[in-house]
Amino acid sequence: MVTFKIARFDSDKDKEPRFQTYEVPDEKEMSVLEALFYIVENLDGSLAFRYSCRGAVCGSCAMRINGQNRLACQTLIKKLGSTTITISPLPHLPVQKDLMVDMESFFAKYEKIKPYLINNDPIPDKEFKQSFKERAEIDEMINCILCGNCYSACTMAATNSDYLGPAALTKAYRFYADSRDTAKAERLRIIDGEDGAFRCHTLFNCAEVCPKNIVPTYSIQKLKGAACFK
Amino acid sequence: MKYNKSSLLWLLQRISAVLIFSALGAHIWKVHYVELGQPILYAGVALRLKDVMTLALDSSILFLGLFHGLNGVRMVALDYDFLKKHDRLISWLLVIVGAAFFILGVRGLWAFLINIK
Ligand code: SF4
Ligand code: FES
Repeated sequence: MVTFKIARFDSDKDKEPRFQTYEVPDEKEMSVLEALFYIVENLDGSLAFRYSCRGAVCGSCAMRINGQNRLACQTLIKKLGSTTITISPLPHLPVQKDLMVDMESFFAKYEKIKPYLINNDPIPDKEFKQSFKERAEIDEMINCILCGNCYSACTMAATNSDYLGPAALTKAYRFYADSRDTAKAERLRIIDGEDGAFRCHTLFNCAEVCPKNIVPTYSIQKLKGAACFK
Repeated sequence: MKYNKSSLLWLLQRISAVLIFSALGAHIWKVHYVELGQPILYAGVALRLKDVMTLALDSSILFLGLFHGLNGVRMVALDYDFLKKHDRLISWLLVIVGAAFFILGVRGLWAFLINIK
């Protein structure tokens, strides 16, 4: 059996979160998300958490598992190397219920950086071409699934509510560095300023928790350089 | 190149760090190694502090150190919601503190060359 200590909180009823304990059979290759399904189906149907793809693609199941922000679907119980697993919601975000947090501020900042390709050139006959080398520069950032692990782990995003944060800045660089994008100056204007890229103190908390092995600090440093020497 | 205040201060923080490092190297060389083996006497120190180049070097270390330190304090202040609301006030306070310490320091240094009352 594996013991799960799970943070329970209902913003409509509770003042403080509390931990509830559940015993889950130790199945081979069971992920933390599957254990949560077991709890909901067999022990307590009131436990709330988000998930969708179950395959580390949608980013909805981000939560704090044994002291680190992780994806529940990607985390195998056996890999945690412990028979007691503590789960709480992503820190530094308002809790809605149990393991569900309010991602409003995260997505508002994501929208701010204009997360879409801007190209005002005449549309070519076939397609906007991109070489393998040009694409390689943004490969890593394209993999971001917007799970919010990095944003929640970032000390600066926790203390400064206006800071764009590592995920939005990673996406900003993804479009800035895209050879097909023509809005470079506008993008630099958005990420410049006290609450943009320059708020990052290169702590690398973001890189440590990214389930896609992205290093947001790289993108942020690139943006700082671009904003300084534009 | 067109700079925003934040990018300019960020860049100057890096530049000042490199300059402090090199200026401190020159200072340590001048103060400790140029006359290695000679007895350390107050008169020797006073003589060195009569040299315009040494005074200019030490004054620039003071300026760069103050800028680097106080700009760092402002950057830390801006990390917090409750302090960043007062950015303008904090910035001016730091400028005043920096200017006051610079004047005090320079007075002390240049007193060996110019008779300041
Ligand atoms: S950079 Fe990584 S941790 Fe941050 S939102 Fe994207 S996938 Fe999640
Ligand atoms: S359920 Fe989609 S990433 Fe975990």
